[in-house]
Amino acid sequence: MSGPLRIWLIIGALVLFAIVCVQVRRERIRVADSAFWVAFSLVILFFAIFPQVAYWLASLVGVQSPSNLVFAVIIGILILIDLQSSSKISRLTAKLEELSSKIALDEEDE
Amino acid sequence: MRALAVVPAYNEEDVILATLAELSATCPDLEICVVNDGSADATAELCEKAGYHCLSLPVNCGLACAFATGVRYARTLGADAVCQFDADGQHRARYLPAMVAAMEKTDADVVIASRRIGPHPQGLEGARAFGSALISALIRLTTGARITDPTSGYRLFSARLFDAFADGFDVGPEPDALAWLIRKGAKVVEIPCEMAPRQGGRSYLSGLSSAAYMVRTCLNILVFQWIRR
Repeated sequence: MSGPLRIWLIIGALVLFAIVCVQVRRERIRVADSAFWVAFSLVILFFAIFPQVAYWLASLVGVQSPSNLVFAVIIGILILIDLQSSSKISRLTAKLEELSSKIALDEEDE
Repeated sequence: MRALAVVPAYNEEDVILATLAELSATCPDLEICVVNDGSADATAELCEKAGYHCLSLPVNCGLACAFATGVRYARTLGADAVCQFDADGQHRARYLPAMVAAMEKTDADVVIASRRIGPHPQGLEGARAFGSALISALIRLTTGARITDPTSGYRLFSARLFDAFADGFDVGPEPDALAWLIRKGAKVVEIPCEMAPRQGGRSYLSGLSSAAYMVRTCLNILVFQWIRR
């Protein structure tokens, strides 16, 4: 992991955290939903400050370059959260459909 | 003081009637509003048949949304205070008059029925005790207020806070909201109480969701409290 990469990772983590704070203040995201992004920025910060962990993990799983391992871990986490978001959207869509049909039937009653 | 008990209920058909009977017998002047949070069982039918006022959410929306619905109803009634009252029988109705009296006497914005003060303080079990102590310490650290039982769900809120709970974004009847309200100038008073074990139904806090609850609560009190409006 080169010096510039570590600095960019730190900048990225701080920018991400700042964006989350702005979103919370503007009431665009609930604190419960923001928790993941705070944790994610901490993970990035952790790898940037302690690159030895990336070296150790890379040798453990047999990846040649520690920076590749860091990228792979970040991509893996993002895929998981995206899958979870899709699942949440599906459940919200189902709820919205249920609500819409219930309201339609209630209006029919009146 | 015109007080309304808001009783959020999600699949509580086993216990809801016993809870409401004790509540209305102990506090005859109290108005009661059950908020059925999209239960799949007979909770709403039982309440309506027994003659209790019951609002039914068409789908399950969670505790904060159910409570906000009750607060909106209190606002249209012109109530002076709303009590958050559990459907599962944990909350003893006999403490409610003391909570109302404490609010009238001290002009507090929030009165909490605390298990941790009084002649017979109750201990919480295991992880809950740790969580509660941690939240208590964080509130002390960030606001200076000493709340002995922040996770007690037995609270009375004055009408001054109705707008915050009814219209606020991401504001629920939870300890992190308490810290935020204290920082906004709300006065919180505690009175001693004892709670019964839950008589039926299931806690919405179990396993993973209680870990998520702790993370959200701590993050909110420690970090986001300062940047929220």
